[in-house]
Amino acid sequence: MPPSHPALKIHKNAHWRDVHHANDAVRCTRYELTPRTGTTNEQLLDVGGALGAVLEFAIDEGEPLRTGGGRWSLSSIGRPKSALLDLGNHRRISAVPTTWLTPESQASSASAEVTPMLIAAGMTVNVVHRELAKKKLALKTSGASDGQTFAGAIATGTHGADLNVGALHDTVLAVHLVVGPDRSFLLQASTGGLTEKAAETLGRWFGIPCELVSDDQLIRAARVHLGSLGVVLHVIVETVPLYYLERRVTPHQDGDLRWRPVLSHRRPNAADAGHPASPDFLSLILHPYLPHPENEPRAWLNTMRKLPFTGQTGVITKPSDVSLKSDLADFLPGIVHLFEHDLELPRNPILRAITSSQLRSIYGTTVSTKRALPGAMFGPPDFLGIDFDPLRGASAEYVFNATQALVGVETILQTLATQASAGNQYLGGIGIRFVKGSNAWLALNAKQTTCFVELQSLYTDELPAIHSAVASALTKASVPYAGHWGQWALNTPAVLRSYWGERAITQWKKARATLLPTAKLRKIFASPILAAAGLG
Amino acid sequence: MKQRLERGGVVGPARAGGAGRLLAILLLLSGCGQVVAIKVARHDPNPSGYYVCEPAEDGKTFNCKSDRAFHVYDSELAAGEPCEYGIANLHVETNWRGKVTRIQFSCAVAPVGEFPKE
Repeated sequence: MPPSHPALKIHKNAHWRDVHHANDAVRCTRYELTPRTGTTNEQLLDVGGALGAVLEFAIDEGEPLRTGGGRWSLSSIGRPKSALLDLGNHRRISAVPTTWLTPESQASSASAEVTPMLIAAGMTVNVVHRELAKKKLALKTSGASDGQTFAGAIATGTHGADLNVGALHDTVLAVHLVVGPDRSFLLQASTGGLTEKAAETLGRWFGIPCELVSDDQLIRAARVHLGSLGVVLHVIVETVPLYYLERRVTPHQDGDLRWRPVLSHRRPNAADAGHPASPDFLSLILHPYLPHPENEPRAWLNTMRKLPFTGQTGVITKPSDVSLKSDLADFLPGIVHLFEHDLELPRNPILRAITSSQLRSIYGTTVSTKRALPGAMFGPPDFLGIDFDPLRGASAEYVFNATQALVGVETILQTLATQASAGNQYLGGIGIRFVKGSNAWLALNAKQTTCFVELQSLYTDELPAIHSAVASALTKASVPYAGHWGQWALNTPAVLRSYWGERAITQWKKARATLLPTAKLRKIFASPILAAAGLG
Repeated sequence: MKQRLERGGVVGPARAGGAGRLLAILLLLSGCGQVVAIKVARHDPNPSGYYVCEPAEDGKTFNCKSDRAFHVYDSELAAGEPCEYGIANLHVETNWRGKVTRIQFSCAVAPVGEFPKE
């Protein structure tokens, strides 16, 4: 018998497709949790009841279940096999009650001006930005775009470019993980400030008993959970007083000797005195090839710093300003729009000129500054209205130690040039970001400072060969790398061993076996990307 | 060549029509002054859908279907039907004459609430 609950809608033959059309579309059964009209407590019980019914059915039937995210990933990490759990209607956010926190935790949060927030993890980061701003609060950091669900963002290690905080998952204090119809965990670090009261209350609210687990190994696994440790129903996240971001973008020609050294020393004011000496965010956008003519910009250096927001004028507060193109977020849809009119791909020489034009139009040819709240700065890319068919988007992100940033980036640029001369033209842009390190086992920002190089492009038949060549070149240059979990599948067992090491792999798998103790249970939350990486 | 006339626009609360419960959305397209009526499928199983509207045979209206499921970008808008919580995004394409050739919109999702005080 299919699952049944008054707060559960079952959509058979639902159509799933990722935003970038990177994966093949899927027909699946979508289980939509739809709490009925009632009191807040009744609605929470509806969420827990419907979720329990779906989990009971999936476990009984051995049916793999993916929790639907924002469909932002270009990898297969969010692609359902046959069943999709839709938590999109469970949309709540509140400050963590003080009774959930130890006195020490209350004191340290107050002195650090940190407000722990309980967030329904099926909401998008965009919505979290918006709701926090209403409370004069903000996430400490964010991805470069914010269409992912919160659970999906931390599942894939979504990172942004914060040199002082790390990635979004590094701001997560606790994860509320549901692993069965009558079992859930509230995971926190051994030094975590949550009390038994927190787990007891969550269990009562949702009708799914909850156990507080203060364990460093488990929380380090759950912070980057790959969507495979159970259903992440809530997270408790550190938030800070609302700030705005002041962004400066400077264009640089290829021959400009100032931008390349920034890859090594990360002092952007050495490239342009107007940049801050110690920015909060640091990234670069690169043209993959030498532009023609050569006096066109090759690189755009982008810094941001956080400043307290007290209602200053001139700060963009709504995520609708199309001038906020600080990253590659809008590059791909734009280039699809330009390339969809029957151009012969990919050897048409006009395509490089189009790429140049697209980069220029987004990032400019003169110094620019903008001020915006995080929810506006990282706001929605311009996806709606772009019909990708018959084209497909693709993106791979190579991640390596920032100490090797210069050699890694030069290796990639040289490889792209070599491939192009052999007829394999790369039709995309390059984004480079730097992020402070994390202690999550499978975090991409695993190094003290990590360099991320994103290659976002159209999918062409030549693209696999290009990425194979890039990966080989990095290996040959002795640059151990990993791939973004939400992008092109680069993470083979060998890549995992060379980048994260055996201990991280073993600990993550051990945590998974602890939380999901049977093979049958692990199969429910498995995914192809997990198998490809040798993680289960 | 596709032309964007409006993006991220708010149409206002969508309302159920009369017999047949067909939704009519009136769009005043500022770029060309054309008023467009859109018919939305009667019982679409996808309340948080992403709709693509093509010109109907009568040349006056647009028929919409949500062949891409749950393509939602969150926005706050008033409630209506069949997008229970209103329309989140609107995208209009015209031909070179300014005639509307395709309209896309996605439904908004539920408002965000708080957890109990305990």
